[in-house]
Amino acid sequence: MRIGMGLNSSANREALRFMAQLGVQDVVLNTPPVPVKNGKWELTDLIVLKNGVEDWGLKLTAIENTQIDMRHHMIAGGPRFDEQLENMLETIKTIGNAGIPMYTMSWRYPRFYRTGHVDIGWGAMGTAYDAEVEHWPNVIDWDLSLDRAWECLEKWVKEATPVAEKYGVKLGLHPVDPPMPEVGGVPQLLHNFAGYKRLIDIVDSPYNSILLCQGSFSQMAGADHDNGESIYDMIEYFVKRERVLYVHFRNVEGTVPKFHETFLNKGHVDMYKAMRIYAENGFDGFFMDDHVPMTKGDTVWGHRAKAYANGYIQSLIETVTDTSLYGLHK
Amino acid sequence: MEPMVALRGTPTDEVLQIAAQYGIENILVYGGLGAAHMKYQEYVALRMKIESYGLKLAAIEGGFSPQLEYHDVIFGGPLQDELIEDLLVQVRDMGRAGIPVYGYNWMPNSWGRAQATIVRGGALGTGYDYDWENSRRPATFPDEKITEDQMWDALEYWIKAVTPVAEEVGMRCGIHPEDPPVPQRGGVPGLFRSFAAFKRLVEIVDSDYNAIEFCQGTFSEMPGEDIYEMIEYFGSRNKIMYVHFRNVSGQAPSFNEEFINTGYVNMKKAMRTYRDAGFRGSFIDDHCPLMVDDEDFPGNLGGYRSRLFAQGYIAGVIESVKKEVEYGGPVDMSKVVKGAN
Repeated sequence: MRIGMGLNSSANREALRFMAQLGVQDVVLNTPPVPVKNGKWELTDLIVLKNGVEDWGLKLTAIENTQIDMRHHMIAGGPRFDEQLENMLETIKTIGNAGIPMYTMSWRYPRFYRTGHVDIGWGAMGTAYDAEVEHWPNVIDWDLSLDRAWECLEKWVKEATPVAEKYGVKLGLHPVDPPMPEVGGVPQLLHNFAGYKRLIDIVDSPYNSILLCQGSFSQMAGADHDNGESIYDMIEYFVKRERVLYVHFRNVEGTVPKFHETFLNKGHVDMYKAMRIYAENGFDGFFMDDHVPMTKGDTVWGHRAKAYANGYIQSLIETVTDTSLYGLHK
Repeated sequence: MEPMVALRGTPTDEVLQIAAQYGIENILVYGGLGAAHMKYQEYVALRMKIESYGLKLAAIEGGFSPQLEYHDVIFGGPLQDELIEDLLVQVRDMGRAGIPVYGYNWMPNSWGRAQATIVRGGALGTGYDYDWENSRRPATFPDEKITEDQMWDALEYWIKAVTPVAEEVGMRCGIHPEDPPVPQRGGVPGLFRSFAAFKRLVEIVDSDYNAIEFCQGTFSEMPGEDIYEMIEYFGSRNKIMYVHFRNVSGQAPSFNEEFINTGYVNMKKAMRTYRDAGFRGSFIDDHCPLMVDDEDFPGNLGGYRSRLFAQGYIAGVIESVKKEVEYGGPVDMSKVVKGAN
């Protein structure tokens, strides 16, 4: 198990140097500003992106999301489904040719959202969601049934997995966040345990995997109950089957229809217990902080809160496994 | 066992709010006995300000020993009794103001380092080299011949004077090791540079109020000593007031400071040793590496980012070693079959 960190931009020098100093072993670039040419990404642009990370002695392990307008018809069954599917398959090949080993994607349209913030203690702010104040208008102007939505996902998985295997890119899907069954008039598929079980059964391959956003899974209805579908049960189920690529390690208070994010050691999930489940079941991926709280005096990116979360995660990995992330103390 | 953070100067509202946000409830403030000491009322005001943020003033730390005014307390001399009498007034002020713990040192040359070392990702850790320092440092007291025996005599005299007063006002007092832990600097012996010296200290007066400010970093720098054995020895005897939880590479005569989990000390094993020894006090991050692009923190070495990294690590390792007890220890990774990712 390793320590990672994500960056919502391209190879930003300052952020990469920050990661290098914290000992980050896997870098994730979320929706990097790679030019979209004819609906696809091109190899030279990805090589530049990758070199920008490696220049700091870091490893670009995963690209997380392409621009949403490269794939929204594919996810939400729009009229340009076939065209976007083809372009995304080409983009997967290009990611593989660039030597980037993972591509993860949120199978959701519209995008991630919240409805506000709450004070999680002394003015620190966590993002919050409340279905009562949900305000998405319809985002698609075509009809989409739940069955058609599943058909789109199944087609993607069946077409993309062999390509991913051939080009050496592991694919992982992130849940809809907030994990609601319908958002903006679009039926959502990956909002509960059952949806994910169905996903991994479409093609039984480690190349058809999960980006286990533990935050989103913890927000799923019932994830905070001891009902056989708790956050711990879900982690165990998917890790045992070797279908988790990496983890967004964050904590929340509550589940849908109303929850808010909080510090790692304050939410409804016992993060120590969660970390043990990853370790006991042979998880061999990495953990990254995600959505850290806003604290007094911090930067917009949250350097301080990210440093705190990163240190906390490093200690949990090292203490649970009784090993050093850096191969020390043998 | 809980995290603690150290602040210098009068704590600002901003830094107290940040400590409260991150749940670091124990606050240490640099200060205490000395020439520019605070008065009783000022300690009360300090404590109440900290408590107004839901935090605790858990300790005051600082040394009067590097101040020339206290020469005769440290080495013995004509003003010894008079100066000690004044210091004991200060101890009473602190204790009555509700300060539970006071950490100080016996380092007339204060602490010292040599050239900085580049550690992870271009951050800077402090470095030390005995020859480097001694080739540059002149005699501290050129007209005096100072011996270790003389310093031990003065120390014992002080411990016997201060411990009953500390007991009376309910404030534990404890000594920080010599940092760097070397035999002498500028001709002044480094008294507290070994396991044996601390055993000798705690035997002068057998009391919880004659204790140790356990700078684990400095104990780790002591040549040839086993850090875990020292934690166990002093932890199980209730001699540790609180811990400076930092890490180093190497030991005197040459070492450098590191990020908390990249030094030679296994911090998880150290934390388990405190737990098993029955230690229940607090842990400060102490010195953190200077990270590029960091912002200055009103405490010891290191900025906000490097300090909060260490604080996150400390919070996690405390939580983990407490919780692992009910599982019977960490996961036995030799029995785990690894996945494919």
